[in-house]
Amino acid sequence: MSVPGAPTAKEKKYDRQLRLWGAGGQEALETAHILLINATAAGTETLKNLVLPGIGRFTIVDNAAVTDEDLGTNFFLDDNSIGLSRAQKTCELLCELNPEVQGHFINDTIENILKSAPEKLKDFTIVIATGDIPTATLLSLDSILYPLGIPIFAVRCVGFTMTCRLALSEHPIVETHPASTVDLRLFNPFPELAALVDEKASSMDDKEKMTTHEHGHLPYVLILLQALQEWRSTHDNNPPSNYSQKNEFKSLLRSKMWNADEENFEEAIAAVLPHFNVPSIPSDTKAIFQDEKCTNLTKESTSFWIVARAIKDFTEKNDGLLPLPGALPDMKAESKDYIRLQNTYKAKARADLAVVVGIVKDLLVGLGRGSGEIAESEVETFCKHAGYIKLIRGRSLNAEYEQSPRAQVISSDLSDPTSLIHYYLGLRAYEAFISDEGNTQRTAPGAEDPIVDTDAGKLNKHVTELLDKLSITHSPELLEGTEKAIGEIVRAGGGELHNIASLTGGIVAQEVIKVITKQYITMNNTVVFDGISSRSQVYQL
Amino acid sequence: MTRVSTGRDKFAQRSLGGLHRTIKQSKCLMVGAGGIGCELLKNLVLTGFGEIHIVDLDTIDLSNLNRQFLFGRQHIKKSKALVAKETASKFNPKVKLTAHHANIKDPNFNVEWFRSFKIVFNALDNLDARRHVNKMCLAADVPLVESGTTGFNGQVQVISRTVTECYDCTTKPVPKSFPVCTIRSTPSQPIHCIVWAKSYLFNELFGASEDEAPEFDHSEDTENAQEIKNLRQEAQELKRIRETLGQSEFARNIFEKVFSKDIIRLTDMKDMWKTRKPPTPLSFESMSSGSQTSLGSTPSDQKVWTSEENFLVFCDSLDRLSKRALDLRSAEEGALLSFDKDDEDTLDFVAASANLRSQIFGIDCQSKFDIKQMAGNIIPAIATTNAITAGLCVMQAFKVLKQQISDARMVFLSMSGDRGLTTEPLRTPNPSCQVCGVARLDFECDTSRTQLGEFIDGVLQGVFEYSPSISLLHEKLIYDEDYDDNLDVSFQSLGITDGSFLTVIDESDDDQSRRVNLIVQFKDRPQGDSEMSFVTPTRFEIPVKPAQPPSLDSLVLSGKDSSRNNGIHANSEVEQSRKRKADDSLDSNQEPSKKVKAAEEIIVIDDGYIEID
Repeated sequence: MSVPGAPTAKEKKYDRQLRLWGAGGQEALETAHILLINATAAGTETLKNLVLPGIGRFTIVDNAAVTDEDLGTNFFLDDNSIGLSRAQKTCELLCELNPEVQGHFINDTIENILKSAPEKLKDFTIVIATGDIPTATLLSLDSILYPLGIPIFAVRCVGFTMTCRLALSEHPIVETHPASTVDLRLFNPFPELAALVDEKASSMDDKEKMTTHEHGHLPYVLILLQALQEWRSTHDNNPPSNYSQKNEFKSLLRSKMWNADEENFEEAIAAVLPHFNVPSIPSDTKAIFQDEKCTNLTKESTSFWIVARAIKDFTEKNDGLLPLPGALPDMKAESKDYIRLQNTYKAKARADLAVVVGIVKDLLVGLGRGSGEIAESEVETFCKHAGYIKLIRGRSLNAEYEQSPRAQVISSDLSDPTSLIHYYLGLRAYEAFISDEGNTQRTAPGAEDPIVDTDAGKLNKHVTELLDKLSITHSPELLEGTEKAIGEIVRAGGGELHNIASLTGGIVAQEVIKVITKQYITMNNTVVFDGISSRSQVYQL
Repeated sequence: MTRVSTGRDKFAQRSLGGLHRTIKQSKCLMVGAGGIGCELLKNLVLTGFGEIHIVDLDTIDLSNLNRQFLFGRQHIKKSKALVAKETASKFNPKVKLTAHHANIKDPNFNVEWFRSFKIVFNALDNLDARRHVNKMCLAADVPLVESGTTGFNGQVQVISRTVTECYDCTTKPVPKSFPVCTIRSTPSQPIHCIVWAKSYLFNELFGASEDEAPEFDHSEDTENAQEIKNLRQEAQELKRIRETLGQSEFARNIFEKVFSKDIIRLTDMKDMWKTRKPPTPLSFESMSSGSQTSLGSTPSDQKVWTSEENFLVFCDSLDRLSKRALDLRSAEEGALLSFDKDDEDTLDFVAASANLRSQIFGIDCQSKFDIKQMAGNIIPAIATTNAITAGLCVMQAFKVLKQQISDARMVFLSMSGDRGLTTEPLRTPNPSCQVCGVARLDFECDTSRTQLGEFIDGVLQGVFEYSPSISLLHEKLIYDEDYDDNLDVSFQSLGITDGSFLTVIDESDDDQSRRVNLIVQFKDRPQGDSEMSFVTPTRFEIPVKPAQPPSLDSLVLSGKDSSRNNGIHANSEVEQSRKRKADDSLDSNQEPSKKVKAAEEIIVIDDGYIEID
């Protein structure tokens, strides 16, 4: 007989990560094709962290030959690689990490590919751009990829510093993995829950009808619902609405305790502030409901928008309430009571799901599509997360650089000398330096010892030019932090430090995985890291 | 060739300046060559650390390969330390690497050995070894970079004696345990049935006896004496069935014993089921007469099996395990099987048995995938978190080597998109910490000749003027005012040899003069024919203890717990597990109360705590 339920060797190898993103996330990874531009240390480390968990394929574009300096920072090159194609050698060593992953390399520059065969770029799931790529090239890539919905990660890693800019167009996330999806429906109990309260808690104040033991083991949810009924009867049927009323309600609960050590009542009191909120649809969910793509479904609508629309229709018929997720937190209770309460919530969640599934089918039929096109499991996942879904509409690089720069984000941070915006500005200046038409060799600032100070001066000038272009007022005092950051950047001479490149590889790969799996909330849109203070900051630029 | 090396080091020299030379001359120790260890070793090698020692006891498993990139399929079952050394040395031939496939707690890794390192990195996965290295680094006064990861979360902390807090300055989560009665008589959650299957049933049939299992909490045994007695008898009966291993009726005998007879005994205890649904025994007869007699197709480990599937997997895995046990025993008398989450036979048996028991008690059944996580204390792990954490470790090491510990930070890493990293200044030592808030004495003696009494008279009372109110600990209590049995016993006979530690606790009542604990570290030196078997130390002032009661838990430095703990701490969970312990009692006079968790939401991240997803 075959061994039942035996996981395959692949499942065993990926066991520890399947517990983070599940089989669906893994499948998305395994069908992804990643393009890495330039096999820098940071770029190669990023790929390493994607090859290990099993992306489908990767391609490295790089025309550089391996140098001594590469060996000092790039783990995926050894002495035998010197002088050979960097794209080829890193590709070979990366492939050794995971036989399930296919690696390809193109020994050429990205500029040549943009010129000769830009259509090739359409094949990629995600593009990671590292190394000394000039602004013009980044913007050309963006012009092609952003409209296609192919995300670009533009990564710059110099010395102790790094930035990662994600240009992401429309990106809906259902499985955001919130800390909790608990919705207790305290202000609007459904009939089955209300009935359970009547049955179990209506004699909560009656020492004749309830033993001390029973009183000390009433689940706190039932205590709250029972006490709310009493409160409403003296408050025009309204629940406690402001802070002082909530405190008053807590006192009411305390007055109902029979002993000072009734833990269940303490739990009820502790739940008042976090759980006494007028039910409302969270702003992220509401924005999705109001989105044009949700209100005007088409034959081409993705399942995300169809299910979102179904849930929107559901809430409109359900007093503005989202489908119940059905989860119940831990609480002091008798096992049997807890299990009954849990089943009450679960049954309601199943009933809500059945309604949503029905609406989804009707919508599909209405669009002239098959009613079974969207699996019930997908609708279920959506219903459980309905209050936590998120739609990220990112910004293109062209928007940041040219069309609609967000000067406000930069200027508001400029006066704080410890802000990491100074490193952002420093690295923008670095990019301007290597993009300068006179710098045909793309020599990095500080690369030649004798001219460190001169180069720092040039970078400072690039910063003031950028700020002027953005109409941001500045002064030498405001730019003290920037000058310091530039000092650090120039000192590195364009070189990477291995541990920072490695950390960068971790940060970037993690975001790539979030984007590919469409799980967890990805950073939006620029992360800046400074190793010296070991801090990171995220800006929406 | 000089030119080549300059090229290789060019950028490190540029960014690190003078520090680069210090790094090249530094000898460092890395404890653990797992997820963080692989990343860290790569970083250390490429940053140019002159000499690196690697210690790891573990061997390579298939499930390591999604992140531990120094290992490949061909290395499975080989030593992590040795393979890591082999792979990493290719990438910087100038670094001197030494690998030890050994336990860091081995006596040859003594304080003097620790003292030979400029800095120590912890890349461990368990609390016990972490605490040990913390203690050794404090004793040797070597700075320690401590790190841990769980899923997307990570943490890095620099520990330096008298400057920062140590690993034990804050309370760490205790391993999760359950009262015996909850597991054996009144389960209410899937985890209770899984622990029952893994630590009771499996061990009674194939492994060592139940009493040793760390998951069992015996603190309430006395309150439930009668039930404990019954349970002991049940276990005896099961042991008798164990003798029939290999006979054709083995599966039926076990099934009828644990899923029928024992359950009927429980239902007969009417008091227990006054307010809750009694369990429903299962019948071997009716289950074996189901439509299927063997498993045709393979049920998925992701879905929850049907009752029939559980039954068939139970019988089948029992058969597989029996054959293995017999084979083992024919090779070696008394050989035992042990549960291993990656051993399909043991996992199938535990999954099916746990689900059958859940069915009896009306608890939700679980998929094999989820049971594996709960039974195996699986910690989600990925390359990205390890890479970020290891990169931060090296950054903190730079500060340590630059003698700028005040600039070092405690760094936390979380998966949230808007924060990523949070840093905090390092905290100063907790004055009442039992591990670092201590005085230290190096004591040289001939451990085979020096007796405990001589030490107390001649050193503690003679030199340091301790009152008679003291107690001495070496792994356990060896002396106090009411326990003087060991006065004539030599240190060696008490298990104290070269490199051992002894803790002296001042038990005097006077808050004003009670001194902090004194850690005595032994150097075994035969004292020739000298009359004195030890070197009398010079007196120094032992500071007075801050007015706070000591926590006894933290005194046992080399505790027995072998819990996995990846270094991420949640103190609220500690409290909760204590609360639960107190709550999960089975009191014959009163209805048992339960603190229950929503079954499907439990994720056992490690032994230390349970997290709600």
